[in-house]
Amino acid sequence: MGAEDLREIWGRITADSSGQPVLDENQIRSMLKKRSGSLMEKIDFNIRVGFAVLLGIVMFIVVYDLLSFTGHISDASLQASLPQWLLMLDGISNFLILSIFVTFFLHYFRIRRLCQDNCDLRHALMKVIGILTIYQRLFVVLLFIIMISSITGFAAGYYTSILENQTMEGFLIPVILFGVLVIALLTWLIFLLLRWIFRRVYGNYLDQLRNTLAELDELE
Amino acid sequence: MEKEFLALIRVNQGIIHKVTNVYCDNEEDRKDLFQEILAQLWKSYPGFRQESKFSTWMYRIALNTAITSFKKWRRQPVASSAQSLANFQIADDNSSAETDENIALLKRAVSRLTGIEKSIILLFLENKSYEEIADITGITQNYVRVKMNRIKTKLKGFMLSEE
Repeated sequence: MGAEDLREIWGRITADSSGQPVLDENQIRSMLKKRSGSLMEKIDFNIRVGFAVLLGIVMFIVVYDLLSFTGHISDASLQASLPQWLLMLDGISNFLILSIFVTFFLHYFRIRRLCQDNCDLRHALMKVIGILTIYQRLFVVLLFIIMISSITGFAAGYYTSILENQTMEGFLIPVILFGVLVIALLTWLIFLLLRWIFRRVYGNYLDQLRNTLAELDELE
Repeated sequence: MEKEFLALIRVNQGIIHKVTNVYCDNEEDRKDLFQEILAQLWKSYPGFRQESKFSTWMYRIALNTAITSFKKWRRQPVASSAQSLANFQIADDNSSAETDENIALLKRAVSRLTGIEKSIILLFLENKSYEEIADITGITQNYVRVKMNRIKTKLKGFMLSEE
């Protein structure tokens, strides 16, 4: 059976007689009015909300640290007595948080620009996969930022408390290490939980999209 | 613009029906996908610059939506069953028994293809050129040819195995 035979057979299967009602313009209009947003529109909205929340958190962390450092919201002498390595760690973590946020933001807009509404199938697939991946990473980035901020905050807070009370100096490093470990462990557990939820909801769908894209790319 | 869009959709709605019939197994899924495609077409319509035929543009949006549809995937996570295309009816009723059998065989064979293969064979059977198929799917014309040969072989295999 050749291509023309296939076409001939297909030609006998008409859409007009497919059992579907032929809609008039009013029916099409009312169908359009009833529509709810697609999954991608909803996820895109969530990502934007996530960015706003993330920006709020990042700004809060950076501004709070800046005000603390200049002594506006805490005792400047206490801040000044913090060891250099702790101040450096705080500065590096703030820089890291800002860099991650900016990189993430740019990555998101690069994916959005990848494909407009009329793009081909390959780019449509790449965009959906990209946006879903960004959505998944948004939570990881948020967790990572909270973890870094909690660790530096905990270390600085604990050190300050020891300076004020002049007790437990000998336990400084072990307690800080233990605290860091507990925070990292808690973050890891939350990460596992979020990953499990994401995979349960979107995992197979994402795999299917990746397989479809791989099929398109197999000979390219 | 809305009036113009609605008129174009009314005339060309058969394209959406064809795509929903190829990709969905049951009436509820078909209805959902029809609505999803319609919404996507309306959203994308301002970007339609008449560089391609309206029908080609419609196929592009409809196939993109069908293949990336989350609702469709949730309802049928595994490969489509042989029920897909079952509601396509034959154009006229003076066909021979042999032709009817061929039609049934083709329907079942197409329903066993992957999502990408379905889109390529659908466009091919709708007389779209290799250039148009490449434009819609984002692959090269050479690859469309290679893929088409594989799909034809696969279809023949499916049809022979059922005869």
